[in-house]
Amino acid sequence: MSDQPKHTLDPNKWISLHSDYMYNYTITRVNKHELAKDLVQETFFSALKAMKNFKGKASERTWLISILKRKIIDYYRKINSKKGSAEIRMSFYEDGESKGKWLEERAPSNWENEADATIENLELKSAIDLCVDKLPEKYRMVFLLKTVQNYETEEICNELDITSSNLWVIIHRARVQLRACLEGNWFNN
Amino acid sequence: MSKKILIKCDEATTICDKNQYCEASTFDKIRLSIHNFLCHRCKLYSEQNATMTKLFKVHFKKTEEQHLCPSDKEKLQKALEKELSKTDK
Repeated sequence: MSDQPKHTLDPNKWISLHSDYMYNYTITRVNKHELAKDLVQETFFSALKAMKNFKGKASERTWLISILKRKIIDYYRKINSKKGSAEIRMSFYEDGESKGKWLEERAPSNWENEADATIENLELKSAIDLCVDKLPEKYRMVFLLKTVQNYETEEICNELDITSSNLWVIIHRARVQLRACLEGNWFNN
Repeated sequence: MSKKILIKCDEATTICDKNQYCEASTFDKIRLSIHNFLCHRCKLYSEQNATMTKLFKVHFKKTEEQHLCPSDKEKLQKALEKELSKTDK
């Protein structure tokens, strides 16, 4: 019959069939092993509770990933609503006559050892990693998806439920902070 | 055209960032060029931003597939079985 469900669920095989894929999907987004593991586990638990709602139209993996996506959005919303110390320092005047212009102390200065920048270099690699680690988590997540994983803007916006102007503000702030951090820790060190 | 041709440093640097991912419009690129012609700080930012892009390409390799280690899988399996036994009841 045509309305018979095409796909079925077998939770006993979830770990062997899907856990690696789901973990890999999660770690490229949240960048932390323990957190990625927890999100995958929570997804399986939520999936167990929601099994009766599975209509069999999508494959088991697609269905599990759709639950995982919600978990990642929820997590992103949670970190996105945290304000305070992790907030990025502004680089431009926010009001007054100079609104939109560089703050004196945040303006770029010349880099001394720029020529070595694009050469494979372990020290530089660790300086970059350190600067990326210093980014607030909500910025780091978007920056890495865009820069390292080369995701399309639309894809990230859909996944994290943000607008493209939100995304560019985040990328901008992340890059301005990375620039300042690399300037201090590498280029003019 | 509603968008103005002369922009401030914060807008110029945002366009420059979009341009690193080839997502700035032609009009934005023109606005950025005009701004950079007039602003040495943003010109420097643009040059350094392009260097950063090259640098990220060299130093960030797209992460290879990552797997859960067997002990993590085992723990996950046990936790799932426990949860499954609860739902069976």
